[in-house]
Amino acid sequence: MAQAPTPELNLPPDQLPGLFAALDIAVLAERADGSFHPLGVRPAWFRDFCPSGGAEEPIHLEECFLFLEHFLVDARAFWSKRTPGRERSGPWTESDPRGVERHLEAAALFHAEQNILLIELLGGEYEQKHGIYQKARERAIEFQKLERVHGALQASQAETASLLHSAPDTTFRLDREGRYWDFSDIVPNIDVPNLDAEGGQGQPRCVTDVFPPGIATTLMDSLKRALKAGGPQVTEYEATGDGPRQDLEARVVPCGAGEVLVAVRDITERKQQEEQLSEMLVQMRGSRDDLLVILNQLDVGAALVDERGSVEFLSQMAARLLGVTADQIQGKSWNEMPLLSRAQRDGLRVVSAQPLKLRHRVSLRGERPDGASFAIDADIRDDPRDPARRLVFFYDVSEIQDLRRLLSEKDQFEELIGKSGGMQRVFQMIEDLAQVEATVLIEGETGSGKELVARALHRRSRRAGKPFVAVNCAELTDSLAPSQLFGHKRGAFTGAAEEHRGLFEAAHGGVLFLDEIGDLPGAIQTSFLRVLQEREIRRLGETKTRNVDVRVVAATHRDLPVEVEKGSFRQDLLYRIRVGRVWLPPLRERREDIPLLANRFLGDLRAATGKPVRGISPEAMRLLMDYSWPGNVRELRSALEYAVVGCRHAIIGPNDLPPEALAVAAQPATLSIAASSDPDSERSRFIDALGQAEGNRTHAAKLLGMSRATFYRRLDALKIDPNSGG
Amino acid sequence: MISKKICLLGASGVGKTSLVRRFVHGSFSDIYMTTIGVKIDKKIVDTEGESLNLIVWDLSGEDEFSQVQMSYLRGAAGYLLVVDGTRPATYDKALELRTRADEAFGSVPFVLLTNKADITDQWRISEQDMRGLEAQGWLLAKTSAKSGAGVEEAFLLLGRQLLAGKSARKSAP
Repeated sequence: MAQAPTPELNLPPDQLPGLFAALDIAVLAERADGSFHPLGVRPAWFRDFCPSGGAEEPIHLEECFLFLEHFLVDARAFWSKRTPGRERSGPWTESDPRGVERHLEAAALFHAEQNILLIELLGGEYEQKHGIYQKARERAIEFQKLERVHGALQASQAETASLLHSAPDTTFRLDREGRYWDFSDIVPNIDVPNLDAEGGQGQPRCVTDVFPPGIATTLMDSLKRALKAGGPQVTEYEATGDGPRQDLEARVVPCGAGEVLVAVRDITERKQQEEQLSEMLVQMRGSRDDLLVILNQLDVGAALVDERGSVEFLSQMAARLLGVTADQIQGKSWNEMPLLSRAQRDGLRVVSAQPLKLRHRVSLRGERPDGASFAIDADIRDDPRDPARRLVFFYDVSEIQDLRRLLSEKDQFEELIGKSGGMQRVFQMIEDLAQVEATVLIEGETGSGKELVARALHRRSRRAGKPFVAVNCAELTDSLAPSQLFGHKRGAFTGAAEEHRGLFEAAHGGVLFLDEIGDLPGAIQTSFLRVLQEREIRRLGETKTRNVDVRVVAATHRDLPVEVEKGSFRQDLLYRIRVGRVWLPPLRERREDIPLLANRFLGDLRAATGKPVRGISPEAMRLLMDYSWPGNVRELRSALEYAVVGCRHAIIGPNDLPPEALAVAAQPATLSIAASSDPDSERSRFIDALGQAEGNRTHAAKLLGMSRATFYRRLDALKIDPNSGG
Repeated sequence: MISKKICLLGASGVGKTSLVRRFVHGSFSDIYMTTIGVKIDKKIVDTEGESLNLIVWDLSGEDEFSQVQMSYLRGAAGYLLVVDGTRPATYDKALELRTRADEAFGSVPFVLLTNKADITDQWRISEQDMRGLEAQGWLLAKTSAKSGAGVEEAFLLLGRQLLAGKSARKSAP
């Protein structure tokens, strides 16, 4: 439940009901008895939930919305603090009594001593957010399923391996004639008829006496081969008798003194298992193919690496993900994988050498030769058939990476909005500068949001709980500036009836924001420099000094080095204030932020004006994107305000936009009135604006994104007669 | 008539919204629709001759993209912990959520539902784990939002616990 500053509704109270009449957001004020009454007309969807409740009739919201019984507990806790800000409920979904499902969000405000509750029907932004979550979660679940498929594959292979090798042996010793002497040697685990029966009269038995002729001959051949080769001989044969078929394996091993040890193993079961295994392998091969198809469908690549680290096999998908062909990499080691950095190859090798339990997925990130970025996770498993070999699965996580980035992307920093690279750098710079105490100079064109940067810097710094005092240096005059900045003693000058604390003292412990520092009167610059150096001030008319702990943040739209050259700004003061620097890009240099800003302003204006304007048409958005915005963000907000006021439909169209934005399409070159520090071009910028506004100074000021007072002052400084058009 | 608020908790994609849809509207859709924030429905059920108005809060599932807002459990008389039988990770997540719910709002009745009972051949949750929980006094149910099997019974099981005013577990795992 995020808190955000409460927007001020600077409207006379008698106009509020009229303003709320057209609101699609339900605005309600709490009564003393805990019921609510609507401010303005209730939207149709709200009446579906709360059919009763006229202007004076109490509304018991808990009875209309199931969710609000929960949220009003939080809202009342918030109202009891009587502080500005906003308590949001977060989105919820609930059906109205007709069964129509609605996505809603509520916010509690404390405004003009009243507990206000806003209930909004969520629209496009909610759908967009929902779509992103939907896709991200679908992919995450898919990946969990894929891991399950791998598990099944491995379990199946392990089971197959465990089927092999069993059955105890029957062993006995034979001499070179095929006779056995010592019956105690016989381990009769297999039922071989007559094997353990003595020949009588101490005579040895011969295999030819015990085994059928065919088998006896086979055994004798093995015996001779074993003695000749000096190594084991293995023979398989089938024992035929009255009982069921029996498969046997005789292992004949020389054991010295012309004798051999014979181990006869019943392999009937094994033979059957091998037959089953063979069938299973056929099936497995089929299912492995199926799995490969599934893996390919799921964008998974696979590679087999031998014990030396050489790639034995690389699937097509793996080759595609890694930007190689199978021929290029087969038989070569990881070190020759061209797409990967050296660190990534080393990472793969190190993880691959670790025991399975310690292994983790290796993230491979980088760029392909065509400039496209890749994000691959590599999962290194043991080959179930040979633990020295590795099976490597490559997961294409680019999309998840993008979605994750999209979800975590910060397009708002305090009150500043922007996802462009320029604004992201500004956000980072603010974070960095907030950690230190250096004086900061914020440079940027008029209307680009310099004060918002200063406020963000204050809020993020250790001075956040202390005062933030803003002063526009252009409004300071030579005579009044010392008193305003440093304060004065009672009787210091005519009219100084009381002791007066200056702005420096007012900002003690906090931040003093000096806007338009380039307009600081020359006489004051010296005193100001001394305060920055000494960290102490002296009130006008006093002799004693006072210590002040103030962080100074200054801002200007001027090119101060040029002002130094002209002699209107002190060089030493420039160096003193320009320790930390933030440069705010003009809006025309971060056009990708325009839709974001426009939609955000539209939401604010919809709430403030009550006009049910839901969006901006693609044509109108294109014009907004094409316009040069000399007045920057402030001008964009004004243009949206103009459009909302004039718009008679739910969607802002091109004709709702101010004429200067419309003129972009017709004659783009005539509207380039970008800010400049060059007095000549500055002068023509003002003259252009007056021309476009057909002499209307309020409109011209708006075009330039500045207040009327600043506009007049600049006209005076540039010696432009507004009546003559220049 | 007695009204009781109950919540559905679980990892993303375990089928919480589908269970509510099956329970409240008697329908099912194969299309996965994620929930953002919370979705609220209600249904009156008859439990042992008594009518009970269940206010069902279907909370957005927890995953790497979002966390369950435990504050939504405030005022809940009980909850259903939902697990996808085919995804063991959702079982671990359910245990974690149960601990967090317990820490936030103390002991209230709950039932652990293992969903997707129409594909038990693909379940990967150990029976031994389940028996362990049962031995500790947890109430367990198998449900299929797709076929409807066990869904009504699971909600009624929790409903009976609420009316009896007794905890669904005897001791913590």
